[in-house]
Amino acid sequence: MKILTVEDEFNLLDSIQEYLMKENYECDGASSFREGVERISNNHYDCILLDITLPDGNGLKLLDQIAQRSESPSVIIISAKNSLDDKIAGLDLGADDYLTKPFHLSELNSRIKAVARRKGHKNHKHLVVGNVSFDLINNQASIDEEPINLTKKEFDILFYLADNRDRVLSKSTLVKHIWGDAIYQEESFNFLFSHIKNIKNKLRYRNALLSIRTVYGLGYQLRCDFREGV
Amino acid sequence: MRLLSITNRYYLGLLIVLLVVWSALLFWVLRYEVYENIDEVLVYRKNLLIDQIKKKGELPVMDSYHDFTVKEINVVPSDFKDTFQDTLVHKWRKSYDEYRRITSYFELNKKFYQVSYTLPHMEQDEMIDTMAYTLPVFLVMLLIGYSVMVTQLNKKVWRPFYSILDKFNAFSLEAAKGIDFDHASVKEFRELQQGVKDLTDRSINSYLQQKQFTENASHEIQTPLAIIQAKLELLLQDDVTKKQSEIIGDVFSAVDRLSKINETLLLLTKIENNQFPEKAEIKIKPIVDDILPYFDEQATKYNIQVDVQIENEGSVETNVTLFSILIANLLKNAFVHNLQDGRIQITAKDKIMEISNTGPELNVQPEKLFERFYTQAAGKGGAGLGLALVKGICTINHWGISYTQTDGLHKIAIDYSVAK
Repeated sequence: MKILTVEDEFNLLDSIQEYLMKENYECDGASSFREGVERISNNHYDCILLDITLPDGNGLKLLDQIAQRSESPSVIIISAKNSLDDKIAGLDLGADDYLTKPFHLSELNSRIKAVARRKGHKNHKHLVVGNVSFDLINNQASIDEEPINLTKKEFDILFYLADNRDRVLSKSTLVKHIWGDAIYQEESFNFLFSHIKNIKNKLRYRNALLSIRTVYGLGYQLRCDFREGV
Repeated sequence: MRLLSITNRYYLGLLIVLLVVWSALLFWVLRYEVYENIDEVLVYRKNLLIDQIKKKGELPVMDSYHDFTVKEINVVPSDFKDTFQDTLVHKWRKSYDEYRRITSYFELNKKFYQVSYTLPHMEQDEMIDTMAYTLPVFLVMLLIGYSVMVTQLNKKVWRPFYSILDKFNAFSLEAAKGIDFDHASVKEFRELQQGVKDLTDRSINSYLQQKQFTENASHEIQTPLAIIQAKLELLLQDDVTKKQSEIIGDVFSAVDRLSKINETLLLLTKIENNQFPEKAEIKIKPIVDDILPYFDEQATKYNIQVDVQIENEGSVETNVTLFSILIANLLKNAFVHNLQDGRIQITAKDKIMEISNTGPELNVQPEKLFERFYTQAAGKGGAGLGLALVKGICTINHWGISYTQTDGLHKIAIDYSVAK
């Protein structure tokens, strides 16, 4: 999958590219409106991450150009503006999702995958990690085709970890992802802890080839203990 | 009391006092004039009579056709001064008329005579009657005329003032629209207009600047925050020692808190800027039902009973996003500040929604609770912006919000019946 990131803040552009390259995406970067236009007209991208506040033009105008292309890529707007006006304008103009700065790179990664799944770019309606498969339509996870009994939140946590497998996800990333901005609070971290504990137990009990590693003081990492072809 | 009523009241009072004094004065002056007049006539007639008597040297014939009497007296009068006297003369049908009589003396052929002359004059009763009939008519006409004139005149004169007042009342800082006045011809009103205009323009200006500042500052903070967060995330992918990971974790949550505060402040500014114009008819129950599961852990851990009684709630016309934020913050507030084995009750009926929860006693003025950065419960991790957000959402929707505390039950009520 080929991804273009249009972001005028070099530091941020760099970090996004570094994170995404580890996911084995092919990554291009553009740090201005002009550069973005150039890249888009000369290359084909599956997904474009677009900052709409660029020094030399409004990123929303880039959306117009993108929409004119025959095979239009998915677009995720990343912006410091979180006004609903922009959000709606962006989504109306054909953007697929919207992330407000500051965001977690793992969240961005998840959104990219979700958009790709929605567009059916690859066979991604199901996610399979090791011997665990996730049915995204019924929110059901199974180990070796046998459903695991997970609560809605447990499923969301496990899926988010699986989507960002091998990455260390901070506790706050997970908490924000599960409870949302308006609801999460200090205690949510304790609740996350108990949910993870439950998930770990359920996975271990069913011999899943997945394990959740606790990174002390920081967060969690999902590892796949199953190597294909090994 | 209205300005015009006050002036009218004083003017009318003064007018009545003046009219009463003037009536009394008129009565006395008239009476004086009448007496002086009749006395003059009496003196003249008497002198004429005496002159004629003296010329002829004999007394005139007296009969009832004449108004005078002349009679000889035996006693010499002490002086020859005229004396005046009021007298009633019986006429017919028991009616008496007021007469004035002059009594005088003269000497003829060594004999003394007393002469009296009597004439009718305008009576006091008649005078009072005349005044009693004419004055009230005059008074009423004067009052009506005065009222009509003053009212019309005042209306005309004070029209610019009331126009200024109306516009000033309609002025809203949040709308950030200056006041346009019609040109006033009166200098004082022009000055007042100018003063009001200067004041409101200055207020708008500083309001806009302050708002702009909050918005700009929040925006500018977001990008560095995004960079810090991204770099930290990259950092924690590397192998770090236990101590390092602990530090990164702490930095992570601090950045999170900072970005949350920033985001909320920005959201507050947006709400105040009315940047959520889309409205829809929404129901409360589905929104509450959607959000409640997010608090399952709390409810289980602290054994909190949640009781939702929403019936005939009617629908609310508002922005869905903001309303969800409102509900989420109210529920969060109710869960976070609750007790072990506590209770939460959510009711909506007749366009009033109430969320009440058990919780430790609060010593706080209700208004303070909704202020930004107000927080009493230390260690709960809140920045004290949740209820400020709730209040902001209520304000732009013109809803009433109140907080009450009874028997350890904290209740926040939102009255969304106000028609927009």
